[in-house]
Amino acid sequence: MSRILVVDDAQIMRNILSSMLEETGHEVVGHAANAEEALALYIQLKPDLVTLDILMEGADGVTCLKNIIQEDSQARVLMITAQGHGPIEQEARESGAKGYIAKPIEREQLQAAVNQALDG
Amino acid sequence: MSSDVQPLLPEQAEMLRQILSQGNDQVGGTLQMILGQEPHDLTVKTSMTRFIELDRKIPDGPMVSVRIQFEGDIKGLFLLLLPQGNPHGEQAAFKALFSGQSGGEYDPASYVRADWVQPGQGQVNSSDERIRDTMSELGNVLFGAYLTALYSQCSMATFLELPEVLYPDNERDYLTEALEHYRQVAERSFMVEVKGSLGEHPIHFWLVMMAEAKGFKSMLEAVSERPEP
Repeated sequence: MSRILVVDDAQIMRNILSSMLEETGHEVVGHAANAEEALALYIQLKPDLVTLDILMEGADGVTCLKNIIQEDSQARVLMITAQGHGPIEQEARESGAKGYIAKPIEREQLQAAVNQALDG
Repeated sequence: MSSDVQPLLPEQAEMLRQILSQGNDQVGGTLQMILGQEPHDLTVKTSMTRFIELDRKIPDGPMVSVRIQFEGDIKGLFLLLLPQGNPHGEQAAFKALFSGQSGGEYDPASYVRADWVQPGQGQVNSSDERIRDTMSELGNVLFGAYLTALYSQCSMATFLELPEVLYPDNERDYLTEALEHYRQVAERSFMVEVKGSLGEHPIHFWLVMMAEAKGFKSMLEAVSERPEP
């Protein structure tokens, strides 16, 4: 079981992801709705993994990713976004993301991506 | 009206349909993810529609409208138009999306997913806010899939802006505003009509993409240049 922080500006997605993660045996230790909350909670909770949305109000997910990596270079972050195309994915991976999946997501797909990000 | 608009060649139309079908394929999965149950008898029909026809096809009456601008190789906007219902309750897409899983009466306070209320940061409590939050994400994921398809098939990179939700949209304000603007720079839009059912409730809503004529032209050129599989 891994401790996971879920970051998404949409509450519906925070809840969906939390349900899927808990159904696959993980513990969701916190929710954040924006980049600032995410960094603060990351520092406080030190989760094993962060699932991170990209399109958010205020600082976007890639900026948030960079801030988390700056805080902890070993951080494991899985990007989960509605836009699954090349340039954004490339920037996220170059910025330290351990994985990248596009919505809509299914539980099995999420589980595989989480396991891969934790192992990476 | 733009002079750039030219009739689609049959092969361009067919290729565009293939590209859009990649986005259409994600509609069912998106609804299932957001609603927590699988929609049935889902049909997703795509057409390239002149603005005047679009205006006629979308019914009058209150709706929830989601507007998402996009930028990049093509600049334009997406609209998600979900009728709220009529006095006779015959158009029940809104009810389908926001009623309880057991098929109970429409109550915006009881959201379709049982796991909605969960302690956490940034909790959304008002029912209107829940609807806006849900519609915003629904639009974001649906339209993200079309932009993903556009990139994978044509290497055209576009990026979504944050969704704006108008609820209730009693006078089709977002659609009217979009038509007023895009009539100046284009002639037609892509329209995707989604029909199906969720439990006992019919689902019926529209996805619309409008872009400047030169954006469509770039897309058609990219489609034409696409290598044969």
